[in-house]
Amino acid sequence: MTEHIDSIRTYTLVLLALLALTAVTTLVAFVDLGAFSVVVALAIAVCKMLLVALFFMHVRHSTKLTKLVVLGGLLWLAILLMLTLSDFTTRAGSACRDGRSLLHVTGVRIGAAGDCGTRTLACSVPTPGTDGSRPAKRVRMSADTAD
Amino acid sequence: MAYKGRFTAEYNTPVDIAGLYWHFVDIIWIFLFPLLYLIDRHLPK
Repeated sequence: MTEHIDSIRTYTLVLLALLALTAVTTLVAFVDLGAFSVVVALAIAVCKMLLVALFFMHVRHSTKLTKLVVLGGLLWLAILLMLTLSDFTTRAGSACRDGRSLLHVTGVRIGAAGDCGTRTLACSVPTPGTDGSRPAKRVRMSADTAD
Repeated sequence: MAYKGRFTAEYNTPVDIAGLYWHFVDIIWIFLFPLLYLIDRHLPK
């Protein structure tokens, strides 16, 4: 492993960049961007992750093998997240069991967010037809729960 | 401990590993912080 030592100046700049991005992501969280809020937050988080991995974890100066392992790990993590989300977002009743969760994943704004009491089912998700057909959207609700 | 000669320029693997683990947790929290505390912050309470 080739020893390459970054200067303190480099590390300080990266630290300042990370702090700045933290401030940006916090400030932007108070702005209503709709579904885009999650995208922005995660995009900034990915940038910060890259900074930490490349500079603080020395991946920038690592061998190709190390970089390949890092990429493989990220790819595998992405596969696991995709599979989990594909289950979660298509699960029956997931919209109103926890309205906030679906909001997190899809950005779909659902009426009383997080309120899973009696009012919850009056949410803005299109209710399925009574003929037993699946609703057009990904959210599946059983017909007897729709009012 | 570096001053005491416990770790040197030749032998610093434990420091290296500890640093890698520190930043691994760091990366996890980079994602957890917005997901836990910032999402939906713009919504009316």
